[in-house]
Amino acid sequence: MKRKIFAIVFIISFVVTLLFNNLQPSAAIEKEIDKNLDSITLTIQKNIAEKNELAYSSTPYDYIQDNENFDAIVEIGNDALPYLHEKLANDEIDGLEEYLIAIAIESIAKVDLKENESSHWESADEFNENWNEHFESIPETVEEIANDTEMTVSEKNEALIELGTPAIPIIMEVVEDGMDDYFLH
Amino acid sequence: MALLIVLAVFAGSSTATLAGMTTPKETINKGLEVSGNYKWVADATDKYNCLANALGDRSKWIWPWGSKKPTSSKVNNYLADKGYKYSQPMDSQNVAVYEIISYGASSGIKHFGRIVSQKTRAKWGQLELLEHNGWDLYSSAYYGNAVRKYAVK
Repeated sequence: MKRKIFAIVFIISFVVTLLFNNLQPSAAIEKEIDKNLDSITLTIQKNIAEKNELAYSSTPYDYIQDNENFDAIVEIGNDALPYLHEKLANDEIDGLEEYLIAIAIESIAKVDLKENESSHWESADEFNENWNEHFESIPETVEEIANDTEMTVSEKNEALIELGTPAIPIIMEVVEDGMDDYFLH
Repeated sequence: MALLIVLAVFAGSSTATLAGMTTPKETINKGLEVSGNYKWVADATDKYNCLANALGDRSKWIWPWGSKKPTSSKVNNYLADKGYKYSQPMDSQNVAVYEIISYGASSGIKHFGRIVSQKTRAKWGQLELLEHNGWDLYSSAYYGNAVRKYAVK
């Protein structure tokens, strides 16, 4: 019984996140992302102009620490992903700004592709390739997890969480097909 | 006269002009052990970083680790994958054709340089690509000591 309640709570939390993140219209989201990306670019240029310590750093993660514009993009949530991904895919440059977009996508999707050897990345272009592969594999992986009869509910939850927030709609489809038949084996 | 014409043609071309050294010398000198030990090689840009330059690829910003600065051991593994399988601590007397140097501390590497004979070429974050005499040349202000040297061997 406890297992069932746990699974239901877990799935409801997915639904709530999904509904909340679908409230914003896409044009407004794109405008908000562009505004914040422009501000991040300006901050980077300001770092160079003022020669502050950040300008000496090679670590992209240093540039997003306490950066309210980066945080604002991440706060938009899943709805920001298609536009961010489009921007990254269409950008011919593979520099710092593009790397920061890659970090934003990972932060929103709650995935860490660097954790796994197969999806490890070191530049924005490499992230883009691995993200595409990850994204496209989600439906199949969700189905595999759902149909796995050896995994416990807890193991299934962990495996689903590792797929990140883009897995939510796919999980919902499986749930609609009958939760007891899939996630409670 | 012919030289003047050639110069005029070049001056009127659409070739991008180089900005040269834009970072104030005081700022650069703060990061160096010996003041004035630098020469401009390429303009400041956020299109590539020190690691990319050290690996010989100035087309991208390369950082294979997360938010925490990598340990020397993680850097060893990464550079070994890139072909730099032989590495020694900076004070080692072992002879090899060393090509890359890491800087910072064993617990956290934060910078890389490319060895060019007895000089080091390094991209300073978003700033210029500079050339310096010697291999262990930084003050503790930004990059600190040279930690390890790497060779393909």
